[in-house]
Amino acid sequence: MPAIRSSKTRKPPPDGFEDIEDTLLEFSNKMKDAENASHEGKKKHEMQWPIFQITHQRSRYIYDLYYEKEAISRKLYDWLLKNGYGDANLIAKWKKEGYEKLCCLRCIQTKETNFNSTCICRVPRKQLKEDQEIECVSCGCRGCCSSD
Amino acid sequence: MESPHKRLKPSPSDGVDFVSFSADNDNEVTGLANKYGFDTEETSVQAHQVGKTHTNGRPHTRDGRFDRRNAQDRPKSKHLLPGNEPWILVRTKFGRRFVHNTQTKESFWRIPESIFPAVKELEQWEEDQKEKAQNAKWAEEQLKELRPPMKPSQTEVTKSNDVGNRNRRRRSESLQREDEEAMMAELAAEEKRAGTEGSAQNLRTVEPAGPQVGDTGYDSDGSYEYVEVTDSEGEEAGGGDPATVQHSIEADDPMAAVEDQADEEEEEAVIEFGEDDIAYQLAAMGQDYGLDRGEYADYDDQQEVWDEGAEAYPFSEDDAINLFRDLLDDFQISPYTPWDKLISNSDPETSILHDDRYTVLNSMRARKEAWDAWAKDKAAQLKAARAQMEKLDPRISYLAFLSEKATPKLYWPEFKRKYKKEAELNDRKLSDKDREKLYRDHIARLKLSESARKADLITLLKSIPLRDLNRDVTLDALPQQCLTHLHFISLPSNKRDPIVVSHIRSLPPAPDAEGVLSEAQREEEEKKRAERRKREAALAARERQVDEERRRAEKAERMAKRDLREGERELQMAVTSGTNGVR
Repeated sequence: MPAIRSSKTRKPPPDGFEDIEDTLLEFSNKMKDAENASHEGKKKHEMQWPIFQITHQRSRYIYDLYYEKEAISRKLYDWLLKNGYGDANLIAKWKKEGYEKLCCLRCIQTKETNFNSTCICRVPRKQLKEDQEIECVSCGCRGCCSSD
Repeated sequence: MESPHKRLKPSPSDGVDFVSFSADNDNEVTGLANKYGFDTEETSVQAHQVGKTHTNGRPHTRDGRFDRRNAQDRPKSKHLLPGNEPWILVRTKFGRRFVHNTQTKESFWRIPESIFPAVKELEQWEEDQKEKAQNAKWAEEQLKELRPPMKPSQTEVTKSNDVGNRNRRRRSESLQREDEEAMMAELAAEEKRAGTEGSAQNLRTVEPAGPQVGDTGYDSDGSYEYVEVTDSEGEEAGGGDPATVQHSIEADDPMAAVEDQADEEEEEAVIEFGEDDIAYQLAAMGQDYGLDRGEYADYDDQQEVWDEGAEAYPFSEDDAINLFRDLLDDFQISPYTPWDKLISNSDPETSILHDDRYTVLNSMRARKEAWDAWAKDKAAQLKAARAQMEKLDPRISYLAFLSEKATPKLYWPEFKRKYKKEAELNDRKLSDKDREKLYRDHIARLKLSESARKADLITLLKSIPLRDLNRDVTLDALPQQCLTHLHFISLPSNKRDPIVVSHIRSLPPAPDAEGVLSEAQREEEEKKRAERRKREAALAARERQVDEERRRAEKAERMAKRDLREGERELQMAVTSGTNGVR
């Protein structure tokens, strides 16, 4: 039987975690608020939008720190992903051409839609009608095409 | 600094706001007033009107008066120059100034070098007074907000005695609350004013009852110089830069007062004209005469040469970016902050949005780019600095905690349970096993005899190399080898400290090895600082230029409007003169 790890016996996070700890705490507080927010007057699918948005923000924060600003170490980055601070699969998409701004993974799941297509938010602005305001069903994204 | 005239004079009976230059009391000035041909008010009005139409008829006529621009300029205030007695400094309506010698009757636009220091001194003094007056005014306004609003009758009938007194009482009330220093200044000013007010009264009575511009600004100390003469004056100044609005009139000579009164009468007819109408008329007239906008809009370019290159500010993109980076440095922003959080912060203390340097980059995208680059550099810098810095051993704080709290009476589990909320026992850098081991060892050592513990401490101190522990080390900056050792905390601090101190005293000073490599570093720092100073100077220059340009534009507009009004008045006169025609 494996040893039970309490918070006291857990290994300390890698160096540099103290720098971003506050920001991550803010994100987790926001997430808690979003989880406990009332559903009054909201559509069924609208309930999950803030969850997706906060996940996106937090993953983007970690992604930026590691890949753009190179401010955190590889060790810390791996640790953060392992501990669920960022979505590794989403970040994996951001590294691919055409997916640099992807809002969530659900929006590129063609098999989950009726016509085997991606979400409306993946459509470039140019191809949409003039002044067409969109908010996608899965995460409330208003457009995440790389060319926008 | 002293005021130009500081005779003690009896206090006037009423609280008249308007104060003249005391033409009746001051002999030198009386002479000047006579010279200008203004002995009494009636004659002066006539003389003024005559002077207006024929541009002569007064003894003191300058060639400049025939100038289109000078024709409208009038002396507004004059000031004695203390120390240079026959000379006086005269200010004009347009905010220009010249010196005049009352004995030789010479006037110079260009101030001779012999009296220049006195002029400078006077201006400095005025500046100070203005600042004081502004402060007092601000305080007054604050107070007014606190108080219930006054009855309208009180504010309207400012000439009546009791209101004057009330004003004064109100002022002194505020002064009591605000500051006593200003109070003393006010008392002094009141004394000075006392004499001048007596002469001011008779002048005041001639004036038509118009809105008194200066009244609202009438305030605690040095207040007598804060009075705007008439509303026509205020109107002209009101359109322009704040400097002339708050331009402190030392003391108005009777001429200016009467002139303005006459102006006012003439302007009655024109005053229905709105600002827009005037601007429109101006444009129309300009087109009629086939002028460029530049030609009719400004004619003060003789005095001030326009800066051609004012539009193209010498402000490169690099400078802008570097200024933005300086801003981030100055606010000690963490490079780990998300950008959204940074710009959504609107707290006036910590937000960067309220700083001028925030606007040097004019798009959000540019700012974001600058931020990203800065954060990258800053994070790298922090990383390097941390690598250089000595790592703080987690045991230090824990051992300090143990030396305070540990007793042989408590077993480890008891101790742990008792202090489980303490930060030292929750530090994740030190494992629980290590903590337990240290605790047990420490308790075991506490049971040893004190002499043995003392001997151990001395051997520990002796084992530390001279580089780390020498005579220059203080008690708060002991080396880590010492602080992380159990032998160090075995003795209570009141017994330990004398031993450590005496040991440190017996040591030789530190071996000299540093100070060589820092030379290059210092040079680099110096260079960086110089660059930064340059950038900031550039920013300041840019702001100054923008300001100046705005002021110039406003001034030109004012001039143009006045010109137009003048033309309008002439037209009016031509119309009203009827069958006689214009001569």
